[in-house]
Amino acid sequence: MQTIATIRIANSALYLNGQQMFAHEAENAEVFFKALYQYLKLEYPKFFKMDSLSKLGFLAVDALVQHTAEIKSYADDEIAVVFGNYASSLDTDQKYWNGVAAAEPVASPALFVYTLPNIVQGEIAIRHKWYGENMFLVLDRNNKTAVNNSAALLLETGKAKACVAGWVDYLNGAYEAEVALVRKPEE
Amino acid sequence: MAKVWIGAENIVSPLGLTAADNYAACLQNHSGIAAHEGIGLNGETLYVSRMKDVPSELPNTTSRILQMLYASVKDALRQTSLQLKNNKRVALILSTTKGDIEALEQGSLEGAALSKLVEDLSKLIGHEGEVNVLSNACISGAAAIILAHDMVQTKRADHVIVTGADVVSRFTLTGFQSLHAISHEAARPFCKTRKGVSLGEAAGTVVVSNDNSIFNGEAFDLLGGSTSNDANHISGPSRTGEGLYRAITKTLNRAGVSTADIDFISAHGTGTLYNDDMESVAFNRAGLKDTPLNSFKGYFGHTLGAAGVLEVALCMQTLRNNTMLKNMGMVEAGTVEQVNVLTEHISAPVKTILKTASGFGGCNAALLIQNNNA
Repeated sequence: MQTIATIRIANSALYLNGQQMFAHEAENAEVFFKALYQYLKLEYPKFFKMDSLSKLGFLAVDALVQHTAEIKSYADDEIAVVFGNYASSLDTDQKYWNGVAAAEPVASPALFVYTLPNIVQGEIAIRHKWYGENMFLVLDRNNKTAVNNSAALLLETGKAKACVAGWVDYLNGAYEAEVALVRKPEE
Repeated sequence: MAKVWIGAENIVSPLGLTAADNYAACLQNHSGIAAHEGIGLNGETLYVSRMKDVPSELPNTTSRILQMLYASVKDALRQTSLQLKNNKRVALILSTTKGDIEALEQGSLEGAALSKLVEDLSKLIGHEGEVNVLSNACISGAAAIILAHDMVQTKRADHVIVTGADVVSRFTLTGFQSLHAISHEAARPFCKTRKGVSLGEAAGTVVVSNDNSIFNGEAFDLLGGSTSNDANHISGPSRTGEGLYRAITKTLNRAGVSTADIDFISAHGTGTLYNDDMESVAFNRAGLKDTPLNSFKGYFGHTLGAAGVLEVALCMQTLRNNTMLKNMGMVEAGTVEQVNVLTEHISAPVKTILKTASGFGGCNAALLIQNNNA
């Protein structure tokens, strides 16, 4: 499997292939995500309705698309999106549950729709009009390689020509995204 | 690439503790869905398929979902000669959306971690190979079986135990209520007057393998499948059925199976207006409008992450018994495009089955199983 480019978002900074592109010390993740949104010059109002996990994955993939011309050469169903994380959607799950468990119970539909980890893949598919394969794995933090193994499988079976694959994890303000564009090595 | 077999199915649900018992209960027109008082957000009565007695082979401090998963996997393994000890070539994939969400309701984030659930299960059954959790909303089960197929086909694993489960919890019930997606009667998928989803709880298991001889009973060909995204909306189905249409056509093309070869479709059929209409459009576009189909959700409710595994297990029972089960609860056909929904159980030779699923996040899945045992 050949890696074309890697985007990493962690510690209030954005990295392309290991090199820091942008840093912004912010008091919390949401403020940093907004700064990153501005740095990437995005105009996508729906972004502000997303939960934190979706914002994180969305920003990572947008940065990846901006920095890899190759990604535009694939047909709309040739790119797979394979993500993994530890915390699933637990961050939003807690927020939703706090409403239901309150003295005056409130069930928020706007929160509930984000109580699934793969919603971020839906947001990315809508943004880039990608109709290809989707897979979301929830893994122990020491088992991140399973994400790449599963991406490799989709390339090997020919189900995808390229894959946006990586780790997108968010819980209680702590975040880490590392996503790469990968493809089969040229023969 | 290795040939891939599927066998040793189990279902743990309100209708029974084995796949055969569950299938027999459906054949007798039983449904697990019933009215439960006071379970809604503000104490409303809701219709759900909930287990009265969860299997309890494990200590009583064990979560309900783990008890169900353990009972399901143990029954599936009893139908094989698979040795788990010192065998790294057996993988275990759990498909679930919310796992032990009751732990979160009690304030334990670690307890609700999905990786913990699969690791606990792996230890309990004495499994030593790779573990994984697939969580793609309501296609999780179907997608996990597709992943298992690809792992065996490419020799990443020799055998994969695929097990799926979700429980009926206050979390999911109130959530579907908030989306106005819950039916105020037992769900009636594909019916003209359908009113929404009934949630259900179940665990289901199948074993996927490169070796037919590990199965005590007959195993079937797993021809693989595909997933796709609608690229349209995170919680609303595509009006054109684009993603499902693509998942079906990719699956048929890859397997070299034509629409005429398909004897039966196990559709997703949640019972919401938009979902069932979307499926009818996709099946029409794929040239499958006359193929007999059902949704099993009138019997079991929507079991979320378990649904794909549960429904494939029922498809395997359909192959064993050559009887297709009717779509429970339908009074009058009424989807935007016409499809051939089964209104009676039909006994006929069944060789090839298409299973489909669609879920939040715009994801879709399709897979094929085939009986080539003479």
